[in-house]
Amino acid sequence: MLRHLILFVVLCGFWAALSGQLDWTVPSQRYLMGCGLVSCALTTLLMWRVGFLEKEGNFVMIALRQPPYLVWLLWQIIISNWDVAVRVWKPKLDVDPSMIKTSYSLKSELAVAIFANSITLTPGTVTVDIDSKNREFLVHQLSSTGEDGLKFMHDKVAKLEGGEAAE
Amino acid sequence: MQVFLDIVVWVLLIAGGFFSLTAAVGVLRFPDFYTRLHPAGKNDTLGVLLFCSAMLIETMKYDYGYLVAGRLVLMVLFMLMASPIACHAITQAAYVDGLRPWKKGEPRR
Repeated sequence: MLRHLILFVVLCGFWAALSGQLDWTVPSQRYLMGCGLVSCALTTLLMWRVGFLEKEGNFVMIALRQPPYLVWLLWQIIISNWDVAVRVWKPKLDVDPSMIKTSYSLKSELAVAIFANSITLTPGTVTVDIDSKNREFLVHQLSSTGEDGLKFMHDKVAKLEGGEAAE
Repeated sequence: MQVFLDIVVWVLLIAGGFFSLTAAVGVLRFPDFYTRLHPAGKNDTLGVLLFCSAMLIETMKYDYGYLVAGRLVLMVLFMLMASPIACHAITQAAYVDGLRPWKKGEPRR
């Protein structure tokens, strides 16, 4: 219940930030604000019906721990982009792709999603498949350099989730 | 100060253009479907990111520019989440369909 309330408030804030028309005295803006409230309420209702939020870990804490991780991720994105760009522009094609498996020990679905997205954004790797039974990712990499980076990133996401870095 | 900001904006725009172009060239040059997704999924994201930071600096010139700036930040956050998900969805579809990844030494497809 509390989670859905938080979701509703965040959605309202999102609407307000995007529309920027918050003058209650002007009829057209009053109409827009009404539309915003209705759509936020509908979205919250849908989320309630789906029952998605109950399954998540402590997503507020994860959101609060995001900013330092985002800064680190941005830096990683720049590095990996430079790496891919060099490979693209080299006259002789320099790629040696392979599929590798990497295991994970994250608890919440949200953390798994963050980890999968981070893998796709960084060092020459793309998440291909998630095997949630064996807790493994199938990762496609451009050249055989990514594996240590993946372990390091996994521990970072695990800290984001709140637990100690596992294993 | 104004000239300095303009130079920074130009540098960011040119860098963004470079990475977007790199993504396009990479899609054409790489040997198979999986490898092609690397430049498409990564360089495009950084290109948009650089464009958005250029626009962020540009908004500082105007009154109420912070309203636009807030929207730009939200846009970047959304791009950071959506683009890898799209990339992963396409890759997984290809993998489930049984497309074999290219190995070094094979002819390009």
